[in-house]
Amino acid sequence: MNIDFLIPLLSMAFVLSIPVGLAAVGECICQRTGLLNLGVEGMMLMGALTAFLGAFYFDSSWIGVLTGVAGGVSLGILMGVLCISIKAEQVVSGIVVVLLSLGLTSYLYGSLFHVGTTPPRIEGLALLHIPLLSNIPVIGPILFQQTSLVYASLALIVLLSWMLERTSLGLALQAVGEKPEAGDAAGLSVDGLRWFGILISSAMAGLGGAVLIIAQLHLFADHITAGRGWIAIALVIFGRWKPLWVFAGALLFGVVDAIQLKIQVVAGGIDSAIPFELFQALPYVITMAVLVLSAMRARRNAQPSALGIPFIKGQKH
Amino acid sequence: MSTNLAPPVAAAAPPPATITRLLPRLKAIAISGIACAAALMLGGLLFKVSGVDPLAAYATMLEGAFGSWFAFAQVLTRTVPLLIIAVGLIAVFRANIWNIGAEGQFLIGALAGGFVAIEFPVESGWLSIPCAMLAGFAAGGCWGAIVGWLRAKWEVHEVITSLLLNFIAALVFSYLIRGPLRDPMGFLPQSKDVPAFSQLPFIPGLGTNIGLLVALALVALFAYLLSATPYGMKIRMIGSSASVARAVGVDPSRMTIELMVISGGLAGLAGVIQVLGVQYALLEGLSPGFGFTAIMVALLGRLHPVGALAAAVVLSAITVGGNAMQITHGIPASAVATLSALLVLFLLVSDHLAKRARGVEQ
Repeated sequence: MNIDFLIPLLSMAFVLSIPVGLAAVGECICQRTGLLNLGVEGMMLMGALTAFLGAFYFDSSWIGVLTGVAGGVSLGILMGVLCISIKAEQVVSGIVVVLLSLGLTSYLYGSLFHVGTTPPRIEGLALLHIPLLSNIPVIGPILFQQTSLVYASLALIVLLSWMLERTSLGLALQAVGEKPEAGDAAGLSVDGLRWFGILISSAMAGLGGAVLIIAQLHLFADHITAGRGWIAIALVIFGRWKPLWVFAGALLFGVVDAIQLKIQVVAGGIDSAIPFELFQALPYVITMAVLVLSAMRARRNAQPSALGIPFIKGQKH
Repeated sequence: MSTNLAPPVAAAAPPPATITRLLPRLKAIAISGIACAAALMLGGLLFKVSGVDPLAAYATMLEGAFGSWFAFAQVLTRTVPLLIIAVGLIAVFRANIWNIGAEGQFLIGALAGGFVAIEFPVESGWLSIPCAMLAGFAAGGCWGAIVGWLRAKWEVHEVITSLLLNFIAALVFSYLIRGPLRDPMGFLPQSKDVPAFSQLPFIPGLGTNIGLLVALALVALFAYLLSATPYGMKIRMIGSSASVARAVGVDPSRMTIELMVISGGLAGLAGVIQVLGVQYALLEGLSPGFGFTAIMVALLGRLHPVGALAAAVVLSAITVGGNAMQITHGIPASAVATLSALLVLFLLVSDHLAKRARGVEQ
């Protein structure tokens, strides 16, 4: 087997796994606080749009990253107000956030750039070869010849995983997800910690959208995230609410996505006789399969006990 | 301008029997009215930002939806798929099962029903149309059953599975109309036309097909089924507590699958009606997001079929009027999706604020 074929494939898989990985790890932290954020797809999409606009108008990728995060957070605040401040049902709130984002992003993009013309593009980031490491055969080109944004994202994922599993803040976050009444009695602010969770989650989803645009696609189109936010939620379940396993799931998704893209290219795109739609469906089919397998293995026992239940002080659940 | 849209949504509440029952209903109606006004104002602000006078935009919207019989017929035609899907969604949502896969179930139903209608061997609409509808219901029902079965058997979250299945259904649909089902004589990637005998007849004088009657019959049936039969009671029970349901002999797993078959089946039926009554072929863009708009219809209708009827007409009118707005003022069509989502959002907020206010009173 020729390994030269595998290196660009795995390098691409690595890049493809970052947006969904960021969103999934953020979602994981949020769910550990007991808040089921189903709005990820919407936050990612909003982040993708605002990142594109930031990078386009200010001509700077890094400003794009910031505006992308801000776009995600804006919907995170909305989700927080709905689920934490007024205790609305989390599932309905999440669906509404996604629907709002689908409409709003399309509306904003459509009013700023008139449809029918060539879609405007932004400059991407240059690849950053890490000295020495990038020269390692096989591993080097896959892991150490990426954009700086990819490295920063990876660092953030590791940092947040460590925060959740190894710090007292992480412990407090987990406590309010398992036993909010007990956490409250112990003097923790359940609402405050859940706000922290949703803000982290929305920022990560927004960043994921930003990475998708700035490191990969360089343009925006309606519903460009194409379900990655939903896949991120599936990965949280697959990773059994452990952030590093969740990210491992994202890497798996990246490999599948890279393979299907490769098949499409090899098959010759739209005009090919090979049913490329069936390969396009591959990431969704595999996500379904993985989701079912992890559910079969051991039901929901790894799930935070208070997930999805609004916390109202002094009320027994 | 808000008064034009508020009453139909508020009509969600069925006629109350006594004054004591009337008062909270009136309050709910008032709250819905305020929420709608707020949503319309925020929508107006959006138009303003894009440099369009909001009042003029809304006037165009009203004119575009109700200004002529032709426009109103378009509103009715659009109401049909939304309403049929929403009625099924109301049944599952009441059971606390959040099926957001109606978009996919619609497409799968349209494929099956459309295929039956196009390839039907006997030249008789009396035979082909019911067969196509049954096939569409069955196919959509099976697509929905996957979600129900996975949730009942292994507690796989239905929101995620139903959504992922949307993408898979859309790709299957797209593959089939570009490949095996493609009309070899056609220029565009679409199926052969539905033969004339299988096309749904128009209701005389209304300018819309008989799908409207099917939709209205379903509203009546489900309004009765959900509020006046033991089955409706069972649905509410598994929605509030699975353990209570089990205690009185209701099997939540079985109900979950059944309800997903009903909900998916109705979405599939809506797909067939769209093919047989509106598009007359399987083609790209068959559903401009009906499955998602129907979620908003169900929520705006407060999970009541009659409420959904009002909400479906309102959202269809916004869409048809939105097309006029797009042509006259250059406002993107997605303004409509945004406005609908804002409506749902404000209703959600006002409902919960009202609930909390009641909690404080007690």
